[in-house]
Amino acid sequence: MAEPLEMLKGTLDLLVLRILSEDSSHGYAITRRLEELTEGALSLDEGSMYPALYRMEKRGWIRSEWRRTETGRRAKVYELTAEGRRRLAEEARYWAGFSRAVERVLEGAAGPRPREAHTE
Amino acid sequence: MRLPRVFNIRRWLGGRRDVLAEIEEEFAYHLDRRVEDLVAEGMPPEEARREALRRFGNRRALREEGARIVRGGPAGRLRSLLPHGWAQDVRGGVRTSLRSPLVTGLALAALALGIGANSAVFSVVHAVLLADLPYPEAHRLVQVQELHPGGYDGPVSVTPGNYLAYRERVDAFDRLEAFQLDGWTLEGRRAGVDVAAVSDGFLELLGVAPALGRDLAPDPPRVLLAPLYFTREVLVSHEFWREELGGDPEAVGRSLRLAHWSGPARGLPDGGMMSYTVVGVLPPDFRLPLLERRGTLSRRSADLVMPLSQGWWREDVYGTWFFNVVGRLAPGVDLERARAQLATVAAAQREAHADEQPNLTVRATPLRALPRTLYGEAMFLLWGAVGVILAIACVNVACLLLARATVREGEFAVRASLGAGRGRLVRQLFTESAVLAAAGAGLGLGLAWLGTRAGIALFPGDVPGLSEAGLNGTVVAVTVGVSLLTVVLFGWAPALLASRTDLVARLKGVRLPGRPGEGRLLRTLVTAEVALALVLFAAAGLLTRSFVQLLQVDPGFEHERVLALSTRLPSPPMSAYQGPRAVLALEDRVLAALEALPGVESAAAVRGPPLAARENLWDFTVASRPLPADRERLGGDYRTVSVGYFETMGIPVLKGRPFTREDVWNGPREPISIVVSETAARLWWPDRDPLGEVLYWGIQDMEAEVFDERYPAPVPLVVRGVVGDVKSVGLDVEPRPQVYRPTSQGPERGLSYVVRTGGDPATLAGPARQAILDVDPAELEVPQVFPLSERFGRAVAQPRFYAFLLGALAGVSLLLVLAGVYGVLAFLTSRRRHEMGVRLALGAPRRDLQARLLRRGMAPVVLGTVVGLAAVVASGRILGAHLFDVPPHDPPTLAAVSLLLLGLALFASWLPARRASRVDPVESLRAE
Repeated sequence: MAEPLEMLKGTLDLLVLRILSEDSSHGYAITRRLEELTEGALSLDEGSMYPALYRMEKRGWIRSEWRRTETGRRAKVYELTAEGRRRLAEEARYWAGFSRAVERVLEGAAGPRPREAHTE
Repeated sequence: MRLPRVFNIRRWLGGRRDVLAEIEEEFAYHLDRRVEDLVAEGMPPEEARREALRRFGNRRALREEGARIVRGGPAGRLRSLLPHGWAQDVRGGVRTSLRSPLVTGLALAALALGIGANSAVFSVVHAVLLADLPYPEAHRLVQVQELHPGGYDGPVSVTPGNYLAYRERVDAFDRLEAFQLDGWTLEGRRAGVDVAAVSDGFLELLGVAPALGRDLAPDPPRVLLAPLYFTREVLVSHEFWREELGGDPEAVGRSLRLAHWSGPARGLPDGGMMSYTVVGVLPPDFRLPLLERRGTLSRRSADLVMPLSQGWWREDVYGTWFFNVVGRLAPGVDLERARAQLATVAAAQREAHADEQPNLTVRATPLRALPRTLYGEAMFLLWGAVGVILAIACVNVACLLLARATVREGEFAVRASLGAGRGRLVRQLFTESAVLAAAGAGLGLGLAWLGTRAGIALFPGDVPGLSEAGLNGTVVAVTVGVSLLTVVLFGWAPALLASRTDLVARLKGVRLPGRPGEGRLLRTLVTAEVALALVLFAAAGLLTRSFVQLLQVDPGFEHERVLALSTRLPSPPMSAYQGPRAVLALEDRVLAALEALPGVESAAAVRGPPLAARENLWDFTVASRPLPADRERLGGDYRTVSVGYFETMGIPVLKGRPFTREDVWNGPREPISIVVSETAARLWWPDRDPLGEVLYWGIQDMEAEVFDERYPAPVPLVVRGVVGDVKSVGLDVEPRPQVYRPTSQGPERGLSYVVRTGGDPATLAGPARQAILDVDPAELEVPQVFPLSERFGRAVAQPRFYAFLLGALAGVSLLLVLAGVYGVLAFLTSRRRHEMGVRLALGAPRRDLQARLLRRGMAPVVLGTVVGLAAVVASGRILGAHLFDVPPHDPPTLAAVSLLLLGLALFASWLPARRASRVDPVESLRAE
């Protein structure tokens, strides 16, 4: 297995939104799904997902609710809001454009100059 | 109507409390699940735990960061308090306000006036009634006073003998201390010094410690008039220390030579000069307590403080109130218990000295409550007046906004159809109201600042604390509170209307001919504001009439052409004029100098000119009558005047003769001539000729074998003449019996001279003053020169101020009401243009239409007038106390203000009625 890649700033939001667009889930489930989708290629302190979740909730992209799980424990479950759904589409579009541009630069082809990647 | 949830308080409070706990729970769940999974993959539990923690990262830092995000910063917290979209509402409110500048301007003006007037009055109330006293635990401090019903009006300070009894027998007080203020002479200083003689522990009572040195040594209350044998120590005030002792840090231990003003007259060696040791300097912020004295709070100061034993008083003379008494309630003791104990002791004192104080009762008032007792009622009236203005302003703004909201029905309907809930619309309207109120409050604070400054500058009289009135944190906070209240008061009307908007009808473009509820609501509001305004207007009218009555009072003396000059001589030890003969000779020289001036018709001297000095109250005994059981009406105003006084002052001699050169001093026990007033003659000798009758000073039992020697020598005072009554203390005060004695039989050092002139007395002020100074430039001083007319003006100044103030407030309220009447009718008729058009088209005469509209407009006004009149009559007692010679339901005044109000309202209604009846039928029908 190759050395895991460092997470690019701002991309965590996109990934979490994407995962939540499939189904509402709690923090640990999001972590597991992320591992599954990236096949463990991304390195991430698992806990650092939580501040990202709170921030997105604050902005109204996701909302949360405490629910009982199958085992009877309380877990905080997050789901996407309409606003979050719009945001995901926007971010995904932007990411696609950005990564295409980066690829083109790497392949030596001329392309549109990317906008400055906006960070937190 | 259900109000929308404007403030998300639960989210704000609830969210904060559990943030950390929730985050911790969420983290724990994550870690446990990770451990479970790792164990399932075959990792030993211990290791799995460590691995899960490693993967999670810095748990504590993440928890703190998360909590910070969830709570948000201070700004975030404020944002979470406000409903979503509030900024949009505020912007919308400002935009809507700007779109109709006339309505907004009128509403703003009304709110600024209403809020500003309230803030101004509150700032005065705050400064005068609610100010803190400069003493620790001041709420326990109580002023004790005596009352002598039937003898003197109002409370007086305390007799030494009674004070000693209270001090000994009342245990509800930690301390019960007395102080006595008197004038003393300081060797080497021309002006006298003010001295407070205080009982032991007076400084401790107030919680004050000397800034330098120590407190006075304990000094038990003495029994005899023998100050010589007691501790002669003084404390000096900070100012005295700075100015007279040069701020000397070594001042403690220095010695001052002092004499009581009466020292020379008592024939003491050296005029009573004795040495006193300075033992301490008082702190710069030391103040004697503000105490009630004759219906005002008097601010007194002292240069020196010395033991009570050094003061000049006699504990065995009752009915002579030397002591100001202040007590500090013991912890846990309530005022009622102190009052009960004081009353018990007072009853015993009354029994023991029934001759001298047959009706003694005692009164205890917390120092903090004194301002409220004295000025509370006037402030209450004033506050009532500005409260009425605010209420009218709110009603008016409600009418204006209601009218505007009706016009905006289309806008609301569109918004509602686009999905805005009813709650959202109501909230938007409330926000608009709040924007108006906030702007109104800002303007109002400005007005309040100006108004308070102007009011204090114009107020005639001295109310302690008044000059400190101004804007401060509390006043601003109250203003904000009042503004919030106004939002509730006027904001509900348009909100109510908007919540009822009929969507379908509006979108169809149907112009509703006004809902039944809307007109009734508006008319009720108009009725309310007319009633409120009438109350204010009537109060202003009554006060003005009362003031005019006061101006017509005959004071009993000539005040137009008389100039008064007060003079001062140094205290006897410092003066060349020590004996009575020398003082009398000086008086003659001054009078001669004044009469020699061109333009002077006559001149005379008096101790205390009318309306310029307090009464000099004495008890008198009428020789020809047995002592009345109730001692009623034995008090008289006793003044010393020169020959020619009655003539100069234009006081008519009704019987007998005025003073002449025959009235000379014949010896210590020889009769003295007096002249009495009409009232004195009527009360004291109701059925005989007063000429030749005899009075004695003090209360003497004429049946007793010997004279009571505690009173001054029993000199017979023989009535030589009767003169007219003089209103000597106030135009609205019925004069007491007045007794005059001639200076030739008892010269006085602090005389005033009155000069009757041919023309304007003010032109003689300079020359007359100079003439007096020229008689003896070394000793004579002329501190005050004033025409008596000025004092007459001062006597009517407060009633004039109140009449003016209330008149101004009533004028403001009247303007607001007229604007309201006009606006409401204009609005209601504009809603009926279509109906007018139809009626006209069907042949209704324009005159009928106009009359019909006028009736509609005037009906609530007439009703409001009737309600207002009823309120005036019902509340008459409150205003009655402030009126002079006018009943609170004075029919001419009430009729005049009602008619004026109705007339103006008729005009305000006529304008829109006329315009509406001129509608072009064709056009108004086509417009729909």
